[in-house]
Amino acid sequence: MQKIEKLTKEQEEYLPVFRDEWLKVGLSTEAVDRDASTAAIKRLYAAGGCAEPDVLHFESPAQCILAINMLRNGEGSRANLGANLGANLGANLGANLRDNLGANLRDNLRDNLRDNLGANLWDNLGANLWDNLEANLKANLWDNLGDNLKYESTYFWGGMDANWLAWAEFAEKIGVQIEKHEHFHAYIDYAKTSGMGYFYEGIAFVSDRPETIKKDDETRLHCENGPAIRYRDGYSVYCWHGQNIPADWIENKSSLTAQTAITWENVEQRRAASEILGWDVILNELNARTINKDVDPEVGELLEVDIPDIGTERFLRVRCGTNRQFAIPVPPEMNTALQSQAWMVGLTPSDFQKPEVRT
Amino acid sequence: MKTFKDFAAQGEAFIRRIDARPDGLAEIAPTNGKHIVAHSETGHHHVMDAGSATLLERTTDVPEGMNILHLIVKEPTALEHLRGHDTHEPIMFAPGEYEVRLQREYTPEGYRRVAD
Repeated sequence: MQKIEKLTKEQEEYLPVFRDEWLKVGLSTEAVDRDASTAAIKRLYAAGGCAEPDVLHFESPAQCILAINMLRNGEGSRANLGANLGANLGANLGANLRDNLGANLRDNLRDNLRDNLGANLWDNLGANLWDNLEANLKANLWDNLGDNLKYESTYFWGGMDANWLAWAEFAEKIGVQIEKHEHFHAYIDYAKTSGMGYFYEGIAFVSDRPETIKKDDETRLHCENGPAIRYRDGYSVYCWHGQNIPADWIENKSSLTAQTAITWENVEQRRAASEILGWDVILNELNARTINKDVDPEVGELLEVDIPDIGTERFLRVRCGTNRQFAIPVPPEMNTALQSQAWMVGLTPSDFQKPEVRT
Repeated sequence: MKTFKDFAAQGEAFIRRIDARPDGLAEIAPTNGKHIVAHSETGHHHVMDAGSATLLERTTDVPEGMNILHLIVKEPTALEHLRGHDTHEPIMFAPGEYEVRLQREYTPEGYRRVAD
């Protein structure tokens, strides 16, 4: 078969409409219809050649993971039930069910779309949905679940998989023959009816969709007075312009002090904390003095501050290539911003040169 | 795409072109076809296509709190930052050898790598 080279006018016009339909699926906060979801999961298992599973629905992915770990360890269940499920849980069907949906599908599309059309479709569908879902919702959830629970991995994010599903489905709509399309269609059906899923031999754990998803005007997860993602059981993720942060910084604002902000270990969270409190408040509360200020904000300003219980410390307040302000603690013997820059990368000031490009 | 001759920085990675390869380098295997040039604990790594470059890490004379990596770039390829928001723009590398110094910071207990 000849590769498809370009879209018709109608197809081009349909592209953004189609993308928005999928975006709606990906960002849906509607409660899952458990009957429809169960039917979709059974169809997905059948398409993958797997025996029909028992389907357990939960209100959040955190509950799914807790249930899986409890059953795997035999905790909270009768011993024999625990042992049985434990054995079944040994066989994670992820790879099996995913094979046709992952690499095989990609090859299939690559073989049938001209490179530039494939890239164009990806830009219009995949990349846009990627920014909204994969890079934001999925990444923040993955990060938070990993931090808080004994993480159970999954390939199946339900509607949040819209970025690659839309890409592949549009290709099919314009004439690409998808091999093992039953499997693909079954997964589309799953994605449109369900939240994240954890699939094992004989048993599937399925989460509801989130109840709340809040974003800023650049589509980054963000909420200043509550969780950015909240599930119906209360499992929540707090975000500041896309950065996951501790719940306390939002729910119990007085817990976030200038000292906490400036000494927080993770530099992105340190920046978020500094933005939440406000740089002026931090500099004022810590009695910041300028030791040296370079004309170039990307070299920065060397400050000395007084931190309760710790003492005097020096920080380089610097703008990064993405235009955000960071505070990097540097040794007390630093006297200029440029010297601090050199120290940060382990060079002497004479070996250090300002980068030609900084992104 | 941004290019450079001798010095560049992408987030916490400071890059400089080098003429002579130092001793004490250990090769680092790629992950899924990518070299993780700067690892992020939240998955926002800085990566380069493994087919176009070799990644090594310096094991001797490394200043406290730092990681120093070496990239041997065989064909033009970009260093990319895997994050959907506030992304550090990709930087194109010409064939050659480069040192990548990952930023450190001070704590009263000692120096540590900047974590993101």
